[in-house]
Amino acid sequence: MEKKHRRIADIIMAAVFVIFVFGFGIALLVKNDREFSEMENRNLAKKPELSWDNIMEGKFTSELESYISDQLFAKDALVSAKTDLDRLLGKTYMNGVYLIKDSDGRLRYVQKYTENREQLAANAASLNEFAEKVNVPVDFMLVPNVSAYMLDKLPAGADCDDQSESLDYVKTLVGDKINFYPMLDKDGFSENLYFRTDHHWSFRGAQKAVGDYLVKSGQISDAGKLDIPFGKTHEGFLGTLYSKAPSSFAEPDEFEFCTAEDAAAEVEWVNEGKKSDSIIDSSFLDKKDKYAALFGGNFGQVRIKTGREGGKVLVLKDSYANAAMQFLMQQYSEITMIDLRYYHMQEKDVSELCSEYGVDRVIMLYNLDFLNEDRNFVWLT
Amino acid sequence: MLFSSTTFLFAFLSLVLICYYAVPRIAKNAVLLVFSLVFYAWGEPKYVFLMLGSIVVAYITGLLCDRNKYKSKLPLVSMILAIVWNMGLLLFFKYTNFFITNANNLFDLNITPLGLTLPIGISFYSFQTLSYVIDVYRGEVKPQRNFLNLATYVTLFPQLIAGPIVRYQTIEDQLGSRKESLDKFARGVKRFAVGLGKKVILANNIGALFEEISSADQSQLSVAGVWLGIIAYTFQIYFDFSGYSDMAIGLGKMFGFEFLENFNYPYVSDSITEFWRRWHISLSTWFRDYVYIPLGGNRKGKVRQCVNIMLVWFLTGFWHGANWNFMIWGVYFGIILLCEKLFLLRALGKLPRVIRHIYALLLIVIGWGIFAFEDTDKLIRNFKNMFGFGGLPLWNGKSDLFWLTQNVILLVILVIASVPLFKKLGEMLRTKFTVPYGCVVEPICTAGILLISTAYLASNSFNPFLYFRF
Repeated sequence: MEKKHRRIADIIMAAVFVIFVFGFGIALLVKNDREFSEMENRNLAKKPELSWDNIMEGKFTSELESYISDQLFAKDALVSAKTDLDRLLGKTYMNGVYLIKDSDGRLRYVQKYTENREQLAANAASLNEFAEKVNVPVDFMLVPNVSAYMLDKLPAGADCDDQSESLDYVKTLVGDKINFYPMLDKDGFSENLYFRTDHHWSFRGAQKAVGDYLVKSGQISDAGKLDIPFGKTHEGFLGTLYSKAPSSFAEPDEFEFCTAEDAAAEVEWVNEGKKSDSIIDSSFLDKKDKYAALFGGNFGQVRIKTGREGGKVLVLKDSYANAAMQFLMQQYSEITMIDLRYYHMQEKDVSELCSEYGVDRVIMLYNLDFLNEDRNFVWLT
Repeated sequence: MLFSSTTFLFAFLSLVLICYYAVPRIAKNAVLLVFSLVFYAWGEPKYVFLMLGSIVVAYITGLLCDRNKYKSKLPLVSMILAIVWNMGLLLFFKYTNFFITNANNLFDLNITPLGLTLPIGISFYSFQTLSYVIDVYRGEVKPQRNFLNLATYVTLFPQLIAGPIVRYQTIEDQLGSRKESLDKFARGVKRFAVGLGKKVILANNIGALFEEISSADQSQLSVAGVWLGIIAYTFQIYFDFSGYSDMAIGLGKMFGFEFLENFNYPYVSDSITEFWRRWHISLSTWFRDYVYIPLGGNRKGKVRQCVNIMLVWFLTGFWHGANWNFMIWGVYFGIILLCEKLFLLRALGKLPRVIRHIYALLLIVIGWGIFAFEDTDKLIRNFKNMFGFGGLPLWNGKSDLFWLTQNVILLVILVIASVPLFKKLGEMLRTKFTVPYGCVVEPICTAGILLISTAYLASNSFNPFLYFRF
């Protein structure tokens, strides 16, 4: 190689490295620190304090390391680049999530499901025990997750259990006191009733399920009254599963929900002492986790006076139920939502609440993954 | 601190580069020394003093070892002192617990193990300081009168914690007078990027597969799955360790040093003898020059040579860690090398090359099967499983298929990267398209590897260094 050319090549190579090392280094110094990462849903590390004590305890070095990795320039872009590089290497399973194409050819995140029979049995036993204690009808809507509809599209050899088998298993566990409504209807349901990037179902999934439930349980003859208009649509919803393996090729979901303004006469977050006239907390619509716009997340006890005619129900629920509430509100006059994750050691247990509020029906509404994993059902008994 | 961390790349390295190139020649070694001490002290500050102690011992014994100057017994005594100090430290920090636990097991004793953490890099710097003193005694190098230079040699952060074992004679002249140049810097950058990519993109990725398989319920695996796990480990340890050596060599070049090569495509070997000429070269030559040859090597008859070989390989294994599996691993290779020396190589020579490669690779992979499991029960179970005595099916369909399909592209890349294909391709392109290759292709590839590595570091879910414990 000619000497001059070699020199130019060397200069370019050295420049690449200098720009790389100093570029990221200087960006770290000049850019403003982020306090919170919506993608990771956590507070990010702050600049460590430089003091003798900190250095001697080794605190300074470890804090500096977390600071630099948390505040790395273009971190979110780099992390999604990593996901796509892994996909380029043919990996379709990351962090407990399968990244697969659905029938429309769009990228969809599907959470791996591993059946845990012990937990299912324990939770069903708690539900049975509770059902025996109350003297009103108890209905149990158990909703499968999206993997139930996508087993055939998962990567070869994927170790994801078949949820219809779990539903059959739970069926053998629930006692006579409980009317069991497993929401697995492969004709009526499909992956399209779930978000592509989030582990929840969409409003349309909830609408379909609540309609099916009310008809099957004989409370209404057809689901026409649930046909409420979908009012507002917020685009750009990238859900929790996306955050586990963010890909630049993920298509954001539309977060559509029904016009809620006139939906409720009064919504009360009992433990928080908060009241509102809507179940939608619109401040969340501009944030990443748009699903939390429903009630602002999950709370121990929320009471809704719908202002409509109908019975009083108590709903034992997970976060799937938040999307279903809009439709249940069309049927009942009063709904009490209990989330056992946040309803611990309260003054009254749930069966006492049932008699105090004079409810004439209990609805258990859970997604299968939750029933399979959650350990808070013991608070019922 | 790890090379493959954002702290090293964007804070530490940028600071060293600025300071190093900003100061005049006379202060350059001081800059390297200070930063190397910070680098070493990063995770565990107290052992810096141990290392400084080793440097002082090496400095003094080195000076007194000069047989041209002292005609008495002093040089010999000094050298023995240096050996005692270095081996003493190694034995104490690395092996005491092993001896205590095994004595407890064997003789039903109840000695409390010492709660010591292994000082990082002690296996490497003990060997380096020792080689310096012995070389002075042998008259191969002059004693280093400048304490700063000797301290810089021992602590030099590129090679401090995971090698290569840079011998003093290799960089004796470079310590006092080396020339940094643009050309060297550029070569250093390329080398460093290759090493970083090997470690972060290849080793970590395939390491995740080994981790998954070895932590899975072993009774649910298949023979094929167990082999896939060990093959994954075979790739992981090579790309991890040679990646680290590449980074060390590359960093050295950036500061004007030239270290010797430590790996030379070991998996292309067609015998174990060849493998050990290509794998961790700085370690095997160290043992050759400071153990095997002083013991008499091959000069004292066949029997003595066999004993020497076995002893050297036992020690090589034990050097890798205070555990039975490392000893077995060393002895395993000792036996194979002995067989090859005595008759096997001649016999192998008559076989087609393909068979020889299969022979070598199989023994290498089985070797890693010993190396990978420190827990003896796991080691035994893994071996039973590998050879079909674990009652496992040959192929279990589900998870095997999943692991294979999820990793097949990566495995193909790993195979290609294990042979000198890219190297040859690069050389060919360089001669044919000198200017576009040097000015466009190489910089783009280098920048690409650096950025991709950063993307993997940013998501940092899996970044353990394998060669750290040794």
